[in-house]
Amino acid sequence: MWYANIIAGVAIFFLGIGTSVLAWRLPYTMESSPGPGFLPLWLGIIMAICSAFVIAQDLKNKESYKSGKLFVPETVKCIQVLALIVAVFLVLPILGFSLGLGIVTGACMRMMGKHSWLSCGATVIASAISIHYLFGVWLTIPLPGGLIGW
Amino acid sequence: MDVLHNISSGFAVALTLQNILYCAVGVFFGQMIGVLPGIGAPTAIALLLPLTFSVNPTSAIIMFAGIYYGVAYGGTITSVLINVPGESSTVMTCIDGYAMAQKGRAGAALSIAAIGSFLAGTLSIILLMTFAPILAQFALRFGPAEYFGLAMMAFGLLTVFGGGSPFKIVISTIAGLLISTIGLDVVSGIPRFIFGQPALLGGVDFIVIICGIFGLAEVFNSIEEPEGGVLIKDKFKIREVFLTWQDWVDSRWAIVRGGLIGFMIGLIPAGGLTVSSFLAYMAEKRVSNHPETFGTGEIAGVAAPESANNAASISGFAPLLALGVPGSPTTAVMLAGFMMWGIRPGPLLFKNNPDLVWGLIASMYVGNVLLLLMNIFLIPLFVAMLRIPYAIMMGFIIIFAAIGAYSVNNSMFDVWMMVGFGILGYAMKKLKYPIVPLVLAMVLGRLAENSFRQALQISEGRFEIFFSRPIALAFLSVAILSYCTPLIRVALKKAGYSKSDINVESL
Repeated sequence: MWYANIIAGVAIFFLGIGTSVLAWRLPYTMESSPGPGFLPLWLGIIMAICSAFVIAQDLKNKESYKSGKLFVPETVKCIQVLALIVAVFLVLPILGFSLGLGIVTGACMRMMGKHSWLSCGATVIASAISIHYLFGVWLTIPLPGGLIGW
Repeated sequence: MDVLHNISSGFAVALTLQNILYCAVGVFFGQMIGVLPGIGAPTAIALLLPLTFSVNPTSAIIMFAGIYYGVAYGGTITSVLINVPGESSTVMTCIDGYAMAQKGRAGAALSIAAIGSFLAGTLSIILLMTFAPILAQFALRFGPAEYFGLAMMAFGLLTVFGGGSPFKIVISTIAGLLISTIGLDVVSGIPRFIFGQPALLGGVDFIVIICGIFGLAEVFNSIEEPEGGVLIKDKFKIREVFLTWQDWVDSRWAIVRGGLIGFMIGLIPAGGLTVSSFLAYMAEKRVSNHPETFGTGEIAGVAAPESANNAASISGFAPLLALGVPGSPTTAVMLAGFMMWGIRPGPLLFKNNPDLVWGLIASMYVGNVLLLLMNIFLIPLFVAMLRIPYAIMMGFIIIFAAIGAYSVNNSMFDVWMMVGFGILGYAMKKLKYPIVPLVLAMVLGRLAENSFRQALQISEGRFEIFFSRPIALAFLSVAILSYCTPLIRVALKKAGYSKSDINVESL
């Protein structure tokens, strides 16, 4: 956890510097008022300064991180759910929104709750139909169709 | 007399069948959301907002307001029955509420929470309808310098009321401000930080961000947080919710004090429900003749924080409606809703959209009555909802988040942005960077920057405009003092004064 905070602090420091560098290329002033580069420049500098303080605090208080852990056993489940979401979203243009999100719902039930394949499958179908009629038909949101047309 | 006339026309709006229905749906959903883990009021409103494009704005806002103050009622149920706060604003209720439940008085705890919330909520509505127009009149004198000062004060107060490292709060605020700069600069027309993506020319839509941060991120956080608590199995009988005379005697002043504290804290930008409930509990314990009974099932220990959080949820609308500045993440999301409908909250809202404002205020009376009735008669239903597995809930949250993000511009780019912000929100929570400053800064960032630039244009580049105008000076003074609060706390600690450290974990 301590290492993660230090790494995050360093990343934020460079983010602040990078923001200031990019903002430097924008006009700093315009006529009698600040230009588009004024605010991002100073925000980047302040962000870098604050992150330096955060790093310094973390270096001083290493002991306080002993009880915390960045990765717990449940983190694996989070990563699995994220991978599922990314994988399904990548193929949404083929599957269609309704079926794709239905698959996400059923898969989450299986991954998290260990529900039976039958109940998960039924949830996929019910969710896909509900999404199509609730959002596509009733709320007329033009959700992209896929293999089944919706 | 103006107020009476206005509120009567407000009731004419609120008491239409459509608006009563929307109010009822809102308070019911709010309670349900308060009971269910892993989803809060900002998330619920964020996920529902894109779906209300075609709904009448007054009805939609009435529903969302119902969700907001209904959530606090629902969170009480889990606080009392399983010692797990359904919402952060009901953390203090766990202390004495669960203790009462263990003594077999769960019904009385829930009842005093509902009645206290109702009475304090009513008091707060009366104060709101009295003070909000005055605040709006006062805000008509605001110019760009005042709005800049107000935004700075809101950011500064986050360091006072927020927990954790003040540097992390500032970093989170700056991140939000930087996100608000993405897109075309409105003054010069120069694109900023779009990295060659035409889809970013209009900036990052707030709906996309909150669907990610409040929707998807909460799914990841809830997967990791272990479900705890032992459910007090109590078959509720109607007679158990009726309080004894002694219960009334013990809790009446707690309700009044809690209501007043909640109202005042809710008015402050970044004040919030959690802070109000905490302060109300501590105040009640301090003035009690028997402070040692707090934590053992003292009914005032339930009445005070519950009254405060409901009063704060109502008064939190005052800065939103009168100033156009949200006081909490939930009202920040509602501000996004106002913008979506093309309505600009602020001092002119009372003049340009009186039906919406007074209809909303009148609907709060209706909503509070409905919530009181639901809390008395529908508790078994809400308790049953605790048994819904989260594995099922999370799928629906992902659905709403994805469709909500997509529906903004009918673009998969926004869906991917939503995933990115979901990962960001998850990482921020893991690394203890607060989310609230990020959200408030995103909402107020453009207002703050544009006001700053306009003020300097008016003064021809001279900064003294911020110090020569008394209201702007007052706001900026509070902001500077707020940023200095961490240093003051450190100095007080070194001098031996530890009471200034407000920390829930220190109870």
